Order: sequence, then C-alpha cells, then structure tokens
Amino acid sequence: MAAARTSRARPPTQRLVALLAALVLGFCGILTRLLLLQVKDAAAFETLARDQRVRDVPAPAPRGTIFDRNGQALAISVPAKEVFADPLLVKDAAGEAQTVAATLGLDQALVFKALTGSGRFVYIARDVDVSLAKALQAMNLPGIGFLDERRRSYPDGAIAPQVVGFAGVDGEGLAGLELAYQDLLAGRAGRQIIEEDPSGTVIPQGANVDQPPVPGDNLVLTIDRQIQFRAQEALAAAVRRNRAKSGTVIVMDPRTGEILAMVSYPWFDPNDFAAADPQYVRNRAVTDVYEPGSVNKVITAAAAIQEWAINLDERLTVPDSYQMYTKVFHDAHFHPTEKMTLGDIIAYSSNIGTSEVAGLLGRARFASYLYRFGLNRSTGSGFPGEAPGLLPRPNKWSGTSMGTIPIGQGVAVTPLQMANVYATIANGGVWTQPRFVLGTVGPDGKLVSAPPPQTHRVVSAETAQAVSEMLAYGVDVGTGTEAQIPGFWVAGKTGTARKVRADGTGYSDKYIASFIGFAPASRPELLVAAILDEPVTIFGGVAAAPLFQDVMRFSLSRLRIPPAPRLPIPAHALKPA
Amino acid sequence: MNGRAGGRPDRRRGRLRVASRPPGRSRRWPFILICALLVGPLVLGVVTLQALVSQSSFRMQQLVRQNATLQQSYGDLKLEVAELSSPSRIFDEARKLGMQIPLPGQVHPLSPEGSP
Repeated sequence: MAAARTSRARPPTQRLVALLAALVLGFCGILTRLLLLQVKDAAAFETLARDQRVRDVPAPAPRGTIFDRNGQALAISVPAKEVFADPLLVKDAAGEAQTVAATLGLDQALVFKALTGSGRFVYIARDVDVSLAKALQAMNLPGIGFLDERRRSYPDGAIAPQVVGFAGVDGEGLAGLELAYQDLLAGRAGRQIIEEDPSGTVIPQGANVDQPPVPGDNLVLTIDRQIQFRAQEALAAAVRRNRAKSGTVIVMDPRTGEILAMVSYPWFDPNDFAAADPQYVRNRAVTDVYEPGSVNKVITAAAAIQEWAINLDERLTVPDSYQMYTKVFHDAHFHPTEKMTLGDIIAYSSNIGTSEVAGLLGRARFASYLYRFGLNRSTGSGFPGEAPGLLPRPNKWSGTSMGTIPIGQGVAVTPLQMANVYATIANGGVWTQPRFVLGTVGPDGKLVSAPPPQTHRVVSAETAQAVSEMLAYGVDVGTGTEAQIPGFWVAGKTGTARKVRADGTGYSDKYIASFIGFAPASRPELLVAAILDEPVTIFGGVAAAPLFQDVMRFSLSRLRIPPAPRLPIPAHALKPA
Repeated sequence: MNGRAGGRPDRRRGRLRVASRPPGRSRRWPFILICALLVGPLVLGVVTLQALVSQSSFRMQQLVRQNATLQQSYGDLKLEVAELSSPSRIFDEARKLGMQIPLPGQVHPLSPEGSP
C-alpha cells in the first residue's frame, strides 16, 4: 500500500519528459510552418490571397474621332467587348461551343477548339457588339469571360478609305491618317483596381483604385464628306464607262492646299479591312507615281513665259512630226505645218510645239522649273508613304529627254504632285503645301488649328495669269471642251500618257488619261484632278474630262461658288472664241 | 495537545462582524455611465460611418455601372446618327423618292458678267 502511495506521489518522469518532448516537437513543427507561411512564402501567399480578392481591370482609352471639315464623323470608337475563355473552367465544351457560336455568329468548330485548348486564357472573339456580349453574359456559361474594349467604326463605310485609313483590333492605326496621327488619336489607357468578396460584391474601403483613361484628341480633316462621296460615285461610274483598270480623283482648294476629296478606285471598306486587297488600301494618289503626259506641258509654258524665252504673240512653226536624235516625235493628231503661239500649243496640246518651246528655254532653265514646281520631292502633306516622284538629274538626261520630259514622258509624279502644279498656277504662281488636317480638338473641345501650310513663289502672278488664260482657252476651244461647265469658265489641261512596261523596257500600248483644271478660271477656288488608268478611249479629253466636269460641277454647287468673269483669250489664238 | 492554545480565543484576531460594502464600489456607476456616454456614441458613430461609406460605395458602383451604360448608349447613338447621315444612305433614299443629281443643262447659274 505504501508502495502504491509512493508511485502516485511521484510523477512518471519518463512519460513527462516524453510528453514535453512531443510538445516541444509539435511546437517546433508549428513554428517552422509559421515561419514558412509568414516569412519565407509570405509574399507568394499574399499575392495568392490578393489575386482572389483584387481584380485589375484595364480601361481602354477611347480613340479620338476623325471628323470631316463640317464636323461629320468619318471614324469613331464605340464600346465593345472581348469574349475570352478559360478552358480549365469550361464544363461542357460542346454545349458551350454551340451556344457561343450561335450567339456571336462564329464557327462552332473553331469555338470548340478554343474551349478545349490548353492554357488559361484564349480569345474567342474581339470587337463584339455590347448587346450580343450582354446576351451571352446573361447565360452564365462557366469559363467564359468578358473584357471591355473599344471598336473602331467607319459609319460611312468606304468614304475616303485610303485617306482615313483604319485602326486594328488593338486600337493601333495601321494605315492612312489613322496611322499618321496614331499618337494623337490613341489617348492613354486607364485601369480600375477592384477588391471583391467571394460573391463578387465590391468591398467598400478595399484596395479600390480608379485611374480613368485619357481619351485621344479628335482630328478634323480638310475632307468634305459630300464632295468625297460624289467624287467616288463619279469615279466609279467613269471607270466602268471607260472600262478602265483604275482611276484617281483629287479635289482641292488651290488657295489653301486643303484636300477636299481624294480617292483611288478600286477602294476598300475600312470596316472589313482584313478582306481588302493590299494594293487598294494604298492611297495611290500620294504613294504611286505615273508619267503625267501632256498635263506636264503647263510647266514648260510657265517656265518659258517667266524666263521670257518666248513672247506671248510669237508664232512658232510647228510641223506634225519632228526628229530629235534617233527618235521621231509626233503630235497626237495629224495636222499640216502651222504657225502657233504658245497659247495655241497649250490649248491644242502640241507635243512638237512644246518641245520647241523647251528648246528655246534650254535644259538647265527648264529643269530648274520642274524642281521649283515640286517634282522629285515629297509635297510635305504628311501622309505616310508619300512618294517623291522620279526625275532624272539634268546631267543624266539623254539626247531625247528635252523632247520627252517637256511633254510629260520620262518623268514620274504622284497625282497629288501634278495637282499641286496646277494649284500653283491657280494660286497666282505661289506653291502651297497640300494638307489633310484642319486641326485637332482636345478634351476642352476647342479646335487647335494645324500650322499654316508652307508656301513659296514659283512664277510671277502675271505668268500664272497668262498660263491660266491658255488653259481656259484650251477648255473653250482646244482639247478640253468636254470639261466645260455651263455657267462657269473653266481652265484646265488634258493629258494622254503612254505607260511604261512593267519590266521597264520602254513603253507599252496602254495609256493613262487625265484632266486637271480649276474653276472659276479668273478667280480659282476649286481644283479637280481626274485620272483614269488604261481607259478604252485613251484620250484625256474624252475619257477624263467628263469625270472632271462631273466632280467640279457638283463641288462648285456644294460650296456655293458663284461664276466669275471670263478670262481673255491668249494673244493671236488660232481660233478665237 | 495544547489546551491553552485550543481553549482560549486568539486575542490577535478581532471580533468577526459583517463587512460593510467598500466605499469605492458605489462610485463605479458614474464611471460606467461616462464610459457608456463616451464609447457608445463613438461606436455608434463608427458603425454609422461604416454604413454610410458602404452605402456610398454601393451608390458609386451603381453610378459607375450607370455611367458605363450611358456611355454605351451615347456611343451607339453617335454611330447611329453618323450612319443615318451618311451620304450614301441619303443618296439611296433620295433615289428611291425619284430624285437625281441635275444634269449639266438643267442648272443655269446666273452671272452679272455673262457666262458661257
């Protein structure tokens, strides 16, 4: 009994030690785990926990609107949705693929492939209409998610598509002025950090941050949407009527260099730019060059008058053909040898007469005027990919160059360059930089005008006046009669240029017909350049002049430009009107 | 056993009597009252503030959603206006009504100086 009392009184030391050891070990284990959780992996677990509660939602910046000169929207950004999938969370891929495809109008097989793919994020569709996305969202399909974005829309469809260009699904300008003014239009994206509970309700006083996006500035173009539309309609009709390969029209204000319309046919729909043929996406009025033909004669005439190389009433003997070194030059139509003034040569577009005038001028003086009128250099319009044209250096000219270049062969220009030559004459001899942008509108809603265009004088006002009289005479009685507009006096010049073979081995039997002119002739306010590539009726006066007339007539009416007095006919004209 | 020790009362010990309530205990009530008056409104204030903040937060969320919806509607309407005023649509509508662009001879601009 005493032994039993003793055993109760003395605790079992070994067991206590064992228990203590177990407790110490246990605490050590807990401590280690705590250290791992709270120190070593603390950042990872914190991030994991944060990711469960906090969402970082990007807020895309609304891209600036592109307006025409009258405030009509040519390109706007509207809210849209991106639909994505997390394949790991998708439960019924086949069923969901069918639903998603039917709602969004997609290929079911492609959607199924996306839903069963690897990874945790795959796009199903972008630029989705918000109402469609909302309908899909209401179905609560597991693994299907939605993100906000902005869709670029061109409400007029194919109106000035090559000028305006287009922006891709990421809101990046990819062509045209959308590309040229990307930095200005894009704005700055914002973000929204939201802390939510498991049911998706925002936790007040949580880590919520709202950084609103900064919208892009708006761009106001010089384009007039109505004139642009009419120019496109007329051009498409002219190309069909003449069974031409393509065509280009430019409408501009020669006094300011503002481009009111510019298009090349065929064109494309910027709302579906992915389906467009790349060659029709280019703004060929600015990026492509062609040999201008007889429209180039205006430079020869202006240079000769400015340099006093010929008196206005001086009559040159002009045969039907003329041999220069190894090459025989002909006029477009047979005629007996005639006495022609410079006015007659321009009005009747005599190749031989023009070559004679260029000869009187001399190579160096003639070449200097080609440069002064802006050939062989970009116009500085700011349009991406603008071509400078091609003009051989005068010291590299061949023996026949003084026969070809004065009549617009052996030299290549962009349609805009050539239009600008005529704008210089219409503007009293002052070259003006063409431009597409009137200004920008910032967040305060005020228009900030674009810097004024660069200008420089090329020929005197008197020379420009004399050339204008010749051009008006040409429309009145010469090769450009098809360009006449009832009620208005028009000045202009026809061009019929042979095309160079694709392999560069001389000229083909295909032609480019053109007509460039301005009105009213004595007080020019509008200039139209009409160019048709490979028309059946090759002559500019037959194929392109009616197109010019159509576009000019509408534009004069649209801008309410009144008629102006007639210009006097040039001295000693062959056929006084 | 020591009988003295067991039979005599210990003089060092006082006579037993009913202890009176300590005088300080009655002064707790003002303390509790003051505490209640100070802490109660404070707690109530904090709770009210939290409720107001939560309410504002929910209201803000609602306004953000409303703003998004209105922006969406504005964008849609802007697009609709632009599409409806498109020259091609107006041209088509006018053509359906029998209108056409006048031919060259159908318009006669008047000029005081005479015209061609």
